[in-house]
Amino acid sequence: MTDELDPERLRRLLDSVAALPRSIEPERDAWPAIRNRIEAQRVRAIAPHATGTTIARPRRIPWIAAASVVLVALSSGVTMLVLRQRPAPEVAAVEQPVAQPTAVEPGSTIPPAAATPQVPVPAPPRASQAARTSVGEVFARYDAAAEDLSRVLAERRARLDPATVAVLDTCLTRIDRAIAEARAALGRDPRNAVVTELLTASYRQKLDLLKRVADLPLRGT
Amino acid sequence: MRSLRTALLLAAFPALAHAQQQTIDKRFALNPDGVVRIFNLIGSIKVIGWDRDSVTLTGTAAAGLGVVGGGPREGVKLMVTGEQTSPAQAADLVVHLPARAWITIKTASADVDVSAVTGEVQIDATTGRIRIQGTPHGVDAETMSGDLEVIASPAYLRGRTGTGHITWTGSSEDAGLVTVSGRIDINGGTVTRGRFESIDGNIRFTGGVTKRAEVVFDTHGGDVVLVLAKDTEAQIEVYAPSGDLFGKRINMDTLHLALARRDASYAQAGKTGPASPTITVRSFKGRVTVSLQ
Repeated sequence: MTDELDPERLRRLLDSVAALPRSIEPERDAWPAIRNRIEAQRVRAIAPHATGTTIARPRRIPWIAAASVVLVALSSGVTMLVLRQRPAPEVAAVEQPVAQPTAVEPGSTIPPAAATPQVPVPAPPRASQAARTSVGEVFARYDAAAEDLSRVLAERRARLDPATVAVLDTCLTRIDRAIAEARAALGRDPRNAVVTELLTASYRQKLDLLKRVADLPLRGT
Repeated sequence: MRSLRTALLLAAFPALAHAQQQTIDKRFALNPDGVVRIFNLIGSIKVIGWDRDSVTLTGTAAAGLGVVGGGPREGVKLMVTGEQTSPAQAADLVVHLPARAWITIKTASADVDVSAVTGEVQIDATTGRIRIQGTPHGVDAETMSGDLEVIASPAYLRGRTGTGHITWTGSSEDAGLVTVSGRIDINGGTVTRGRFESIDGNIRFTGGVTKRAEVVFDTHGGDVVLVLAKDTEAQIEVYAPSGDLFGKRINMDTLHLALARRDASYAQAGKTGPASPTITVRSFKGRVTVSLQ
């Protein structure tokens, strides 16, 4: 476990992610071929009882798989960095009083930490500047990936069903708002692992949504 | 222009529209565990599993559409061809297939209803509503603005919506439900590995967790309500700016690190130990409520 959290390994992971082929930029070379393949799938009628044909198990188009690899790598990197920021050692070092389970009566509200001074408050997490910087780098790469995928949306927007585009825009607006709020909170409290995890989840949703654009049916096909 | 004229004509004269429907009736042989791919952009798709090694495709389609299908015994494709851009160009398909078949369905606005199947089910819709019930082994369903309803206990469950609501009644070893702004309602059974996420949709979980469960609820702005089975034994971690714990058997024994006010709650339900199942709730600005049934 300790080995997994080694900053050098994290650095290498981030470098590896950075070195991945740019196959998630489909608008340049890969996309026309992929699009043709999708279009071909859509319009090709299958002859009844065609012999010699095989039906493959369902699979996703390759560039989405590549994008997923990037996404997994980014998520793993963030998770490891977040884990590194967690205050577990400090918490473990504080002697916990033997807690007498206190029954919470129906309707009671979670009291703020200040109202229960007998509970040991953990020391601030020891997140190194390097780790914080790395988290920032990872989110910058999320932004870059989202930007790449947004170009695919821009390309296809005119040919998508307007109602679908409206839903997409609504979802993206909500996600972007959540990302902005979480990033602002992280700006105020860079070591907040919970906000980091929520921010990661929001980015994951954004990339998933944008990747989905490639699968949406186009008008007139 | 021609399609617009046709659509207007059909809207004005429903009887004429009915008259222009074509009836579909096709049959194919398929292995019990074969693959069935169904493609229909507009209308409806009803899939029913049965105990036969064959597929039947029945229903109706608007005039001008083609409905084709075929393939070897390992797999069959059923496709509606032709332009489908308006409700007048709908096809309503009813597919009976071997219960164990691997099913993939792709649609835009067609409502999808799958029942009595035991294999894998993969559905990709844009605005269509999806309903799955029965005993599928696995479910992977996505609709952007339609609602998703699953009444089943698959080994794995993946469900995603943008604005549509997700309702799941059942249990699973591995469940993941994600929405942007829809509501997630989970009713009934137990979960082992679960991840339920929203951006600002509310999440409600009514049920239990297994003894080795690891269940996470993440939302940015949605409220989370957990109504846990009365015999639940789990460590519960809540990170939220506000929340409530209800019930005499939920015990708070520590308070911990913070989100907005630097106060997250660690609670426990029933008897717990180091290897106890964990339930984690993280909400950036929503309210979290946990109670026992």
